[in-house]
Amino acid sequence: MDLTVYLLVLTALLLLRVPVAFAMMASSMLYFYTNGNSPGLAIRSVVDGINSFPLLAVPLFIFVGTVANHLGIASRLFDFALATLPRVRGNLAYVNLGTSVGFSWISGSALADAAALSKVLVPEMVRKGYTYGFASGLSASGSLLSTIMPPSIPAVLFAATAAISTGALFAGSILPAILMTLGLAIYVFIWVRKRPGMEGTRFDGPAFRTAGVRVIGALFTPVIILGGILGGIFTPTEAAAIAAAYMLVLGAAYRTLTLKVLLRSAKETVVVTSGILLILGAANLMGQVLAREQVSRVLGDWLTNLTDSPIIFLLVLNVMLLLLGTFLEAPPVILVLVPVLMPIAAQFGIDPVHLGVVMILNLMIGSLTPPVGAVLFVVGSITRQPMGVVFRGVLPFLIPLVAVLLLLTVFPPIVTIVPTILGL
Amino acid sequence: ATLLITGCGQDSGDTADEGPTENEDVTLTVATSQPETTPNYYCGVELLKERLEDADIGFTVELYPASQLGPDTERFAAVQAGDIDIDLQGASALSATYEPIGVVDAAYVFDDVDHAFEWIDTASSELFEDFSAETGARIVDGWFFGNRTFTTTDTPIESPDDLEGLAIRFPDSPQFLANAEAMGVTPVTVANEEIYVALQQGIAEGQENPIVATHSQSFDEILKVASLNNHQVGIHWLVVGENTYDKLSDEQSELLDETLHGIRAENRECVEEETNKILDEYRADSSYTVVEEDEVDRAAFTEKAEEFFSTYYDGERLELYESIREMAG
Amino acid sequence: MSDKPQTAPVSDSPAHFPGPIRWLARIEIWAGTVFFWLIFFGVMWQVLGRYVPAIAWVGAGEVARLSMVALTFITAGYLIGKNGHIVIEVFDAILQGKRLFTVLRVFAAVVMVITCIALAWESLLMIEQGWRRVTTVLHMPIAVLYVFAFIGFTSGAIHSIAKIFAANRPEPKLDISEMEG
Ligand code: NA
Ligand code: NA
Repeated sequence: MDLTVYLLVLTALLLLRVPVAFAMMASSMLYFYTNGNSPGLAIRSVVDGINSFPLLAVPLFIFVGTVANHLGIASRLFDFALATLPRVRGNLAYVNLGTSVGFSWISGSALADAAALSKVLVPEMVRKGYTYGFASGLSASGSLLSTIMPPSIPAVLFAATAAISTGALFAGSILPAILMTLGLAIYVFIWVRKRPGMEGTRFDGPAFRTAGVRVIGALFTPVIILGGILGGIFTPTEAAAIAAAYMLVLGAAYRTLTLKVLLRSAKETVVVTSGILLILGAANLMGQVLAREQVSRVLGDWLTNLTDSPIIFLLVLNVMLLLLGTFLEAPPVILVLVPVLMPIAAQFGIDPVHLGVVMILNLMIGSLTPPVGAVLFVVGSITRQPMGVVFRGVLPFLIPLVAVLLLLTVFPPIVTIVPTILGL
Repeated sequence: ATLLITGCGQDSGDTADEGPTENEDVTLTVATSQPETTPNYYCGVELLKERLEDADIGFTVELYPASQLGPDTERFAAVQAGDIDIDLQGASALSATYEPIGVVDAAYVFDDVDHAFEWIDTASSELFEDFSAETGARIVDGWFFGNRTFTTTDTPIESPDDLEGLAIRFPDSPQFLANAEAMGVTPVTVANEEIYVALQQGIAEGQENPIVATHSQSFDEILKVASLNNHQVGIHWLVVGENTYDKLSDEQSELLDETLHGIRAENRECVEEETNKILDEYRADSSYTVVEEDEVDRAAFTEKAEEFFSTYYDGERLELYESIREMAG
Repeated sequence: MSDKPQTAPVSDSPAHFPGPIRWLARIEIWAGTVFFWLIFFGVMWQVLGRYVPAIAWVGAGEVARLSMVALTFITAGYLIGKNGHIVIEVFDAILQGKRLFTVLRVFAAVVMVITCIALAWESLLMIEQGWRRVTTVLHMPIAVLYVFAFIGFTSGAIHSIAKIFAANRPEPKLDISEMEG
């Protein structure tokens, strides 16, 4: 079986509703069996793909997001943002964005953020006269901040696969996350400017102080995560466990931590992670097929023949990844493509941290688009609206997001300056 | 090396029966954990590819460096199953499948490379035959990839006392951890993927690796003191699956073994050259300190290690350990 | 992040599965939860051990890693049963309610049965071979990991067979926020 047939079989299985992990495993096993490899190679490779220390951050950070959600931390962030911005025109929209920013420092996955925001804020915004499309689009696109702002599960995966420092990738993601926030805020500003009924209300001092006190504990999470990593107390993977432990401490302090919350969060974490981890194992197996077919070399030769400009290379890559991202989720693409792309990126002299941030933002934009868009699914299911309606709401928000992506692509220092300053 | 060739010749007795009588076209899959920038790639497997293909007796060689085909233990399982033909493996990884082989990775078991090569050529056949009987894979020879030494952020290591209380990262395999204990180190366990960041953050104050590897993984961006205590002769064992010999004619098997043996000396020179080149850069750079071999109290280290391993090992492994130590100059 | 898509709950609960399969599912998800706590405690132990040498243990990281592998496999079948694995649903909207859609679902379920059986068979081979090869720190035979894989994929095959016969009924969707028990 050659590469073309392999890719055709894989695509056919994916389109014919075979679950992604199993489509990847089935086509790869078929490849190995027909090429005379021994049975056992596939399952060993899947096990190896999962049996990796940095991947431990995946279940742990998902647990952090889930438990934070159950402990009511999102609503504390929301209350605080609301008390801070009462006088601003269109304040609820900024509150939505602000809550996303707050949550993004705690959570490494967009889903917990998207779930929390669309549950609380979308109905609230619709009640106050915002359109459903705007409210859901803002919640969905704002939730991407969770995967760009550290901690971030895709960043952990990229760093582990590319064998680069997770700390450097985290540091490199901070400015891009701020730019994304600005981009989304500008769109919000334009949208609310001319609409009636978006006027703010009076500032309430006591309410602001109460909300501030209630949110201090949660706002301390990024200090612990980033401070611990940069201060040399624990590694990024270990930071995930520390953050989880801190959430439990917060829950105990807030008196919202019950045995039921604990068990429920663990169970949700298991259901969410095991699906991802099996895909990651399958991605490792698929990586074996691509390695044996020397795809990295072939693709590298093709790209170096095409251009010698790193920017054109990255733009070509962006188009490729945006297309892939509409069909596949970020983690398997990262695991399969990073080993292929790293040597090519090195030929073009591209900083791996730069490549990482561009790739992650690119693939995360894909999670906002059909046919496979995890964030769309979550927002749609929680607000009980079809995915297509959510996507129409998301569409205008893609403009600032893609603009930020292009900016990052063309100006690498936006990514590399923070790690350089921190000496990472 | 003649002795060893005859040793393998005996093994390949059955190969002659099973293998084809004519030279058939055969593609060999050769894998290693080493990246393309290390001597064991460009002065090792790359030469192997060149020579086997140039011989024009049906060989095509495909190289998969940098653990492209999986981590060490997985690749060895693939050699056993016939999915990889030739692999470069450290003894510690092999010891997950065949425990006794771990002994050759013991700290200070070999005095130097010459000692190790002499042992391979004259005294290894029993161990290797047992290994092959147990695992279905042959150890044809071993290529040097550098002496493992300590590199630390700022502590020079001249004697075992200098290691006390120092947080040094060791790989989490039983033999490496025993080595740490033998030298009096309390090892820091950090996953391979997180070594760089752990060093950068000071979670670990040093690590142990051959200079070439320390350099190729950029650990020397953080670690400024290289102490040439040479606690371990780093050898990559050339493991070839029995399945592979079954695919080869006698002429092909012979050429394969000969070529693997033949590269050993050139490869060693290349490794030493590269090591010295890196060390000379350190010596010329005031931000680096090199603790030279003659500044290290090797006798103290060896004695400490011998004392430890003579009680740590027992039975077959103790016998092997002692027989290697007896050969020491 | 590509987590599992949460979708609107469908009232049709997967109650048509016979009792033993429901029990199997319950055991699988609970085992998965136990492995999650092992991951959490393993990583915490590794960090704490660095600062409290008295409790330092090199096996802590390995416990966490192996638990993650076990978690993934032991819940693989459960997720198949609950439609919890990510599926690309490009044709769903067009084909919903048509006969061709049932055919498509039967096809996918058959592919799943074959794939799960192949994976369970490979796991069985590894169980047979894997008693000699041990993990680096705990010295646990690698074969143990494949026992979980064997259970998970066998359970996956059973669930997939059940789906062939349920292909004409509406597919219950996994709703994480409204999961039972
Ligand atoms: Na985040
Ligand atoms: Na998508």
